Amino acid sequence: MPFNSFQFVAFFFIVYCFYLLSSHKWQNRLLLAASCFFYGSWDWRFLFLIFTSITIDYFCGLKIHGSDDENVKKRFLILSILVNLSILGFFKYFNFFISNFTGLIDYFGLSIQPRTLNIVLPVGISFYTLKTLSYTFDVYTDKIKPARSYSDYALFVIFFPLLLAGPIMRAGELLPQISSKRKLRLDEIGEGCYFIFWGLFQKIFIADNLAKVVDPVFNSSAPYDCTKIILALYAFAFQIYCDFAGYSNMARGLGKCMGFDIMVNFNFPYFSTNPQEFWARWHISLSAWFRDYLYIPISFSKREWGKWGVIFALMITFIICGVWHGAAWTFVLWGAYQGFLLVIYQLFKTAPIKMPILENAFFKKIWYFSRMFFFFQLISIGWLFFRVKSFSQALQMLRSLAGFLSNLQFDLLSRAMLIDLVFFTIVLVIVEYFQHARKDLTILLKAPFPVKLFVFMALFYLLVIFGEFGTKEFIYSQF
Amino acid sequence: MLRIFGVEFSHLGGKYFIHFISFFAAVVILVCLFFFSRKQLRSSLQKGISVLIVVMVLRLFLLYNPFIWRFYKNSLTEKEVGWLNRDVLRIEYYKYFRYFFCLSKYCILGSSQVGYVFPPGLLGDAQVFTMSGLSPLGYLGLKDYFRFDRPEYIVLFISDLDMARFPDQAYLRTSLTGGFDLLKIFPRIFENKAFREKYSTKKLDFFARFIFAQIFPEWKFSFVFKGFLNKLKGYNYELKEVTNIELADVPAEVSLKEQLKNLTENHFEEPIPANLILLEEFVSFCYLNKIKVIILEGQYNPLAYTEKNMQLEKSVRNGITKLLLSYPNLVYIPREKLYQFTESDYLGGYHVNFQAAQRFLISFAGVYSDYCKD
Repeated sequence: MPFNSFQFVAFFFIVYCFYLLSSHKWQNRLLLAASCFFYGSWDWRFLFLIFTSITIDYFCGLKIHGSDDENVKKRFLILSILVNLSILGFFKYFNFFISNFTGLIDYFGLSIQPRTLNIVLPVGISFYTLKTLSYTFDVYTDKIKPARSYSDYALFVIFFPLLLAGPIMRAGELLPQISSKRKLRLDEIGEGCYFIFWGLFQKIFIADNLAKVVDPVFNSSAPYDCTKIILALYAFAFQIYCDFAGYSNMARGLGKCMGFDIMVNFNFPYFSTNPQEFWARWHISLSAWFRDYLYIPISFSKREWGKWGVIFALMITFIICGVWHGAAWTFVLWGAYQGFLLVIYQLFKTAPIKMPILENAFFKKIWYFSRMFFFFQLISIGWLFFRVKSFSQALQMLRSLAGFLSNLQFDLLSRAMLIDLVFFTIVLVIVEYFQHARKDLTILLKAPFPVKLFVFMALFYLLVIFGEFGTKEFIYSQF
Repeated sequence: MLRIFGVEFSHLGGKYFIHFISFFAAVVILVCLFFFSRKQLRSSLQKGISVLIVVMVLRLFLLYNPFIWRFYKNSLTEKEVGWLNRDVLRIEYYKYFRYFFCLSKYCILGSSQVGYVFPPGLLGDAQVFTMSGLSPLGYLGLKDYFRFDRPEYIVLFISDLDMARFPDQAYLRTSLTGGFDLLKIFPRIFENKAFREKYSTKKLDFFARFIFAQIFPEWKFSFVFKGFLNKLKGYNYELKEVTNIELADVPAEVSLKEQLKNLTENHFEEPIPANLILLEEFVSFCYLNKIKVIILEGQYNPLAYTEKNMQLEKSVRNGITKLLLSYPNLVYIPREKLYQFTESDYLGGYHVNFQAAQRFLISFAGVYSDYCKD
């Protein structure tokens, strides 16, 4: 039941009507039941898995907090980590490990016939696993107290707007909102509706239409010329951004309509001029999770290595981040590439370029946009590794890109792709430019009425006329 | 003869034209009322009415007038919008005219197959109306036109090609009433257990899309604007396999192998009872309006026939034969009584050449008097 389906509209309408009529206690019960129904609509068996994780982490949290013995605390923390990572490891990585193990054995001239299993990846498992792990880590480090109410904790994990693809909210942010009474204000509901609408626009108008430019190039076995690969890469950069940010905005909007304050997960990432800024703006909840629970502990433990410790911590963190995204070497390569960019940035950031001409406001702006443009190319190359199906495809495309000066062909098809790319992204670029300039995501809501009328009518008509209502899955829900 | 933007004024008329005049008048009245009483209204009400006026004016200019549909019809071809939608453009334009169908004794109705089996130049006072992939739901979508332009006979050419596919609500676009009056039939269709089991997941989607299309005609006719985007991109079928832009129908140039594969793989038993209900509804409508219906058993390329197709053909024939008992206005002529097309008669999977059409019509004329007592 993805957010962009008629079934979800009907589901949320019914839930919301009852939600508005319920007291706080019954609102939580309703949300828990609705979330179970929402998750079970994919496969009711997934409910057993998620509730296993919920139950174990709930009791581990209580035991960690209730004990003064450091060893006991550690044992329950390890139990929680082992259970959660085992479930994730089995469902997501079992076949990957088996096939790689077989490949390694074959390399040495031996032959085995291991069994791969027909495993269905539970929806959202990568997201809720990180959520539950963050809970036990925070209880262990005394950042938060454990949840007393099992149902409140269960709702924290399974809350349906955040279940499939985040944001990965911390217990310290979401649990207090669950346990305390929520005020529903009309302006907040209005903002919620705006985020839902904008998220739908990003998903249905932009992402799903750009998929038609991206898929033929990346799913084709035939080699494409450099121009088409570049256009498809740019299209994918916007597709994955709008797909994911669209989901996050809808989740935020749904939460706001119910009185929850859901964190911002994307903060104009393509306006970044360096990788550090990018990761502070892209999938903020994930990058914060990896920073707090992986990068900081690793870099702290290797602090005596100096800058090599930082480099080591960065590379390990981003390789694991790549692995988290998918069970394939291309994701590992993507993660390593992102880590490499950050390492290069860390090594050279203290040597900024100083030019007198940059004192001039106009040239400063030109320089800013040049850096943004340059960094966007680097990020797009990273997306190549993310999107390809195999190493050989990545190599083939990179070879084509490397010879771009001799390989540029602007034919009818390239023209069609370029028109699609511009048509489906121009609105996003304009809206986000103004949002970024004013540092306000809700700038459209604050515009004068004639401007608001024009903009929202235009967005609405573009969505209704050109939107892809075929309920294409969200990309990140596959993780 | 008065012509405005290429539209002959004297030919305009009919129910749809009256709706257009009424809508135009309503918009003008609303705008005038709003401007004269603006100061008396609360700010929020002013804003609400402004939104309503903008929407109505946009709809009037973009969707609810004959001039714009003439422009769309002349600007867009099947390359930009697909075969089905090209026919929809034509119908939407002619809705504003007094006579949708010519006042002829015979109206031959069907999919593109019919256009090849009954080509122009061979028939005297018969009108041939085709729409890509037209099926029983499509006949019902057109029934209101027959209320005004009543032929004596409607001739249909039906095989499992038409009956063994899920009713596509795209054909409801042509309905003068928007298809609302047809909603009452759908519970009957979903009563069929086999149909329900196979298509239960499509049910909510079907109705949701139907309601959405009624509330937002911009969505219903979105293919027009997408067509202009395709035109800008210089889209044509050579690009299709790479850009993968979806269109409503498969053109005749698609390889024979693909077409034959489509005939065998995408036809199922489950939609047949549903389509028979829709066909019965159409025959019943004709009966009440004193129109006789002649159903000729359809055919397609013999190379496509498999065990599955023969079984489907049998189910269709049995279903239509049962209707003969209830409807005295219905005549059914099985294929054995008519010329049977051979492989060499076909241009592809479904369309026949002119000479084969001639042979077919001669055989039809030969048995006509046995079945139709004028």
